[in-house]
Amino acid sequence: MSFKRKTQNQRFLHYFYRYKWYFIAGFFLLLATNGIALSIPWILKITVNEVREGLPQSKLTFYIAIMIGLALIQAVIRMSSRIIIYTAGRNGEFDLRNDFYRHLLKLSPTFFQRKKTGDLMSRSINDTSDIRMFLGPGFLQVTNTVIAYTLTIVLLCLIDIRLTFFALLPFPILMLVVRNSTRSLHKKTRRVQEQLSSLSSKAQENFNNIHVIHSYTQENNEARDFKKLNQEYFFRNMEVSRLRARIWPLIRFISGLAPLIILWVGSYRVIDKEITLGDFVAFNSYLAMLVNPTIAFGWILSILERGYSAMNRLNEILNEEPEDLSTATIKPPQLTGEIKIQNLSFAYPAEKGSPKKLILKNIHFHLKAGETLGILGRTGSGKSTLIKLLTRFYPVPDETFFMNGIDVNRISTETIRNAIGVVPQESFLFSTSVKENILFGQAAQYSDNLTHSAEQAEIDKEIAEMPLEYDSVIGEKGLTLSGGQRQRMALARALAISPKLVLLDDAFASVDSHTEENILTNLKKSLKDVTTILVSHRISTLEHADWILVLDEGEIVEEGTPADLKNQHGIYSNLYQLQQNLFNKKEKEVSDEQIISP
Amino acid sequence: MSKSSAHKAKETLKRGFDWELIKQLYQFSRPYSRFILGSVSFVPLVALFHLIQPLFVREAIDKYILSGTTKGIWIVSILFLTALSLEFVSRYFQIYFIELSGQKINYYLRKKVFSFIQSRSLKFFDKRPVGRLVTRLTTDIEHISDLFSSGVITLFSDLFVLIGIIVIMLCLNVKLALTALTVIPILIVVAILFRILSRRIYRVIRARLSKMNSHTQESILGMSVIQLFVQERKMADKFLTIHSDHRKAQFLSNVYESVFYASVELLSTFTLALVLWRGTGSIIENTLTFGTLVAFIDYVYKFFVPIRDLSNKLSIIQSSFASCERVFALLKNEDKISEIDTPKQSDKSKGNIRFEKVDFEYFPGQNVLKEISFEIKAGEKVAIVGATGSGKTTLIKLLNRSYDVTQGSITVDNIPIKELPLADLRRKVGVVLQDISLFSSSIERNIKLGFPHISDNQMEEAAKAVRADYFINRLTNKYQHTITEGGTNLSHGERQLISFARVLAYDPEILILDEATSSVDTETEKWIQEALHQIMEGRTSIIIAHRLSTIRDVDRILVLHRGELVESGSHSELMENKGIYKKLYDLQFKPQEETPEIAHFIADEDKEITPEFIED
Repeated sequence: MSFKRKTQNQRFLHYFYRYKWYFIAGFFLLLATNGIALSIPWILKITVNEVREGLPQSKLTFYIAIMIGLALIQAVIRMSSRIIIYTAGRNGEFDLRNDFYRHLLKLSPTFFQRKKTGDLMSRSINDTSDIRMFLGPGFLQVTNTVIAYTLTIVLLCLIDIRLTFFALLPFPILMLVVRNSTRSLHKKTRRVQEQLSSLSSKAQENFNNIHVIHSYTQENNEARDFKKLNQEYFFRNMEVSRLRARIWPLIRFISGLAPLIILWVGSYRVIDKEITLGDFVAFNSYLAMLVNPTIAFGWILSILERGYSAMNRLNEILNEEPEDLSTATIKPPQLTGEIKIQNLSFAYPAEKGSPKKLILKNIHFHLKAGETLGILGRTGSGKSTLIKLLTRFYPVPDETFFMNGIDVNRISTETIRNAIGVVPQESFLFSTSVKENILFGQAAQYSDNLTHSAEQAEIDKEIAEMPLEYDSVIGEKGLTLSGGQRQRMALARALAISPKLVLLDDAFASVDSHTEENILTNLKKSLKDVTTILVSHRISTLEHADWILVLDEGEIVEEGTPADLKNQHGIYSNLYQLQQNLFNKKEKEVSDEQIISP
Repeated sequence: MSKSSAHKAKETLKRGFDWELIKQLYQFSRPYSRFILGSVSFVPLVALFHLIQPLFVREAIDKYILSGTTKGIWIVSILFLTALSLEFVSRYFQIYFIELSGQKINYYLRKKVFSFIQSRSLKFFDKRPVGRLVTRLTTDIEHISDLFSSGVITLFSDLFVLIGIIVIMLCLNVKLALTALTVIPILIVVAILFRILSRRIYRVIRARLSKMNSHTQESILGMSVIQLFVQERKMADKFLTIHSDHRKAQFLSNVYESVFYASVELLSTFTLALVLWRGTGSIIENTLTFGTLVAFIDYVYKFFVPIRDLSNKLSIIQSSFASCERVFALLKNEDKISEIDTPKQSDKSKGNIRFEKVDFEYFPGQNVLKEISFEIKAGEKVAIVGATGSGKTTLIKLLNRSYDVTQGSITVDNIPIKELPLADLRRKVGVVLQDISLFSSSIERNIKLGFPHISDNQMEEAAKAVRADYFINRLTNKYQHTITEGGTNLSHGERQLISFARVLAYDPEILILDEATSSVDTETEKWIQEALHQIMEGRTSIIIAHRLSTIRDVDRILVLHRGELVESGSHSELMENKGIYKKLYDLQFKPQEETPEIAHFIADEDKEITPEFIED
């Protein structure tokens, strides 16, 4: 499926069009409801007029029966119109939210680095529900108001044009007042929301860092900061309150002017015999029917506005192009873990104006299936970028990255990722059961892989001690795992897919060296054919590698077997000295000198 | 546990009004009672001016229109206009005063709840996710003001109007009034039915919505894992299932609402028909005037206006009460580190620390620390070593009273820490923990925190001493550089150096430090070691050590094993001892040697305390 950008209007039309029959049916039902609604004051008018001329009881009963009959039909139609239109709105929301979620699944890590989770959440939940309001109640109210106004004005003019003119005078004013105050309310409410969000961030930060607040006795300072935000929040809320206190009574006042005008002008018209008493009564009823849609007018406006800006925000995301790296020109090959990188240089897409900065320069290595590569380098040396390229999160130039001799740009990302087990630095686990987490990468849940992977990752004993063992739920509502446990869980998850290539990106930082040692030995024994890439700062870890690359500023500055590198005078041997010999006082002093010299 | 809390929630629902809650609410609103009373006093006025208007129409029809005299119409019209204007004014004040009191109560509650939460001990935070605490502080408190502004007062005012209409109708014509009022029982039945149904369905919707939310949130947070393991399809299917459930429930609520809305409209027309039928009959019999009939019709319209969103108001009130309950339950919490009434003042102390038979448990029956006794002299540097779960971190958290000991005592310069003012104690003890807490503010703010007495000079010197100045000076805004949420725009090592600079600027007499286990690159490692030297200089220091170099630097090592202090001495003494320390040392720092039986020993120890989150 190719990616296509769309404008806001196109998106709206898309969802409108999908449920067009709902909307068309809804429209006619609304027309019918309003038609019936308007016929009732007409019956009122006839009855009142005929009573003055001595209405026979039978005729009266007949009118009343018609009225009740109409009311019953109206109730059914009214109910259906609402159900149908609201359902269309909900369906539109449903589709849109699904589309949004599926789109997120396709976007690259850069995108998620750029966007805050809370922001995406709010788009997925709140903005889509604004769209529902737009499609459902928005459509219903707009249609209803237009129909009600048109029909009522026609009927009123049929009774008396002059009285209609006077009686309708307050309505344009009402509309103006409603529109303006809704706008201003909207603006003020946004200011309140902004302040609320600073207030919550402040509280969240405070609670998250509570031990620092306590240790450094910052409670009073924090309370003072919070008070400032709280005060501002109060003031902004009061602005809204003052406006609210004005708007609603004002609307009631202006809409109350209509019966007053009918009373004043209408009385003279009845006395002058221009209209009948029945007309006078009907007029009051008709205008009463217009009041509600007019008041709702402000609400409709804000629904439409919010729907529009919600679609704008959703569209921003929906128009983000997913990075589809592979053109997959060949059928999925059987990957064995053999991997070759040659002349690989890489720069992140730069912002306009700023020069492209090469993160990786001329990287090359070749791993046969089953070999282990160690990578050492400080923060910013390009290690993480290299891992991201290997896992196909960013595009590589043609002819730089081969698996089993095939250029990866010709293999589908899915095939590659299915062959790679990654244990990232930050091990994210889902709040599901231990079992579901470990078997996350599998289509079906085979349990023989489960215990085996857990054993290899040295987490099986701890799982056995959990209250529900493999069915224990992790996360906020369940178990809290330590950093080391999380990393070993992530390892088990990566091993469970029986990968051909394992990437350990500083994966044991929180695991103690002894356990790490055991894990690596396990892996070596049971995964003889599996290619492994280890990124680490620990010499003890790196010693497991067949070949080591030392990266600095994106370049390979040293490479060789651990034994070779130990004897060269370089970064690796320095680190080796530091980590091995610190217990020897004399050598420590030597290394101290090294530390001080820049 | 979750079962019992659900049970409890059900019980509260059954009980309906909770007098305890009302009493508490009353206490919180008492300072603002004059505003609330002000608002309440306008309620009858609003009803009066609103309901008098149809009477003017009645007057006009019966006195002038029917008799054909135009003379007094303008007087009636002016009276009508006056009533309308007065209604406007009274409505304004009614709303304004209630909004004012609601906002004031909110302001006060937010302030109180924030300080309250802030002053809880760590035990409190262990058990509660931060997101939930923030919700208590914001959304829940917000709902409490809704209780006043769109809840109780509007309901009260609606009730006043409804009763007013009934009274006026009865005064005008008893027979016709009773006819009109026959619909009221039906209306009540319909409203109650709708309430019950919608309440049930809203609960389902809320539960499904929160399921959908958490699925979405997890997907976003774990997106790279989903993509790495090629599970996009599985996650999308799961989302579809959860989302469809949500839609189903929503559809049902939509049907209920539509039926309710249509029924109320039906009943309104039905009443109108009844009034018209009986009314015209009475006019013919000459027991009713035209004007009264018209007024009746108007009153029927007015009667149904508040009914339409009655259900809405009730649900606002209900959710407000639920929020009130949650906030008040929070405020009942007693996890606070208490100070004694007359704390002892201590002079500039030296930093002597003594633990005497200290026991500690997070949960009753689960001893984390057992009979720990030791003494650290002023200026001494001590390392604590032990396997994960041996109680190291807990031990140091006791010293600044993040937690209070269960048994035994801790003294600083011979004064039990419980008898010191808490602020004084914490002023003496500087803590650097493993997970570094940075604030999304400038670097300056992060080093100085809120202390006005720390000068720019002192800050820069602290940064220089721990070599943080090197990277800070490379930043465009130097000390004014803004750190992002969670410090993500700094490397791990840089974050660590800032926390060192912070403690150095704080200049405590006692330093407590939990060394980071995470590995950083060699260069940063060197810097951190250097910085450590600097901050330990001249202070009593207790360090949870993970690095050999640190262990080398200290005067004495305490070895913890399963919550007990098992060995203590210098490195060489302990090595000669061939006890647990030697085993630990071999395990951690000599990876080449395989010692399988000891591996077992470590695995046994690697247990975590897992506090369960509690509902409140």
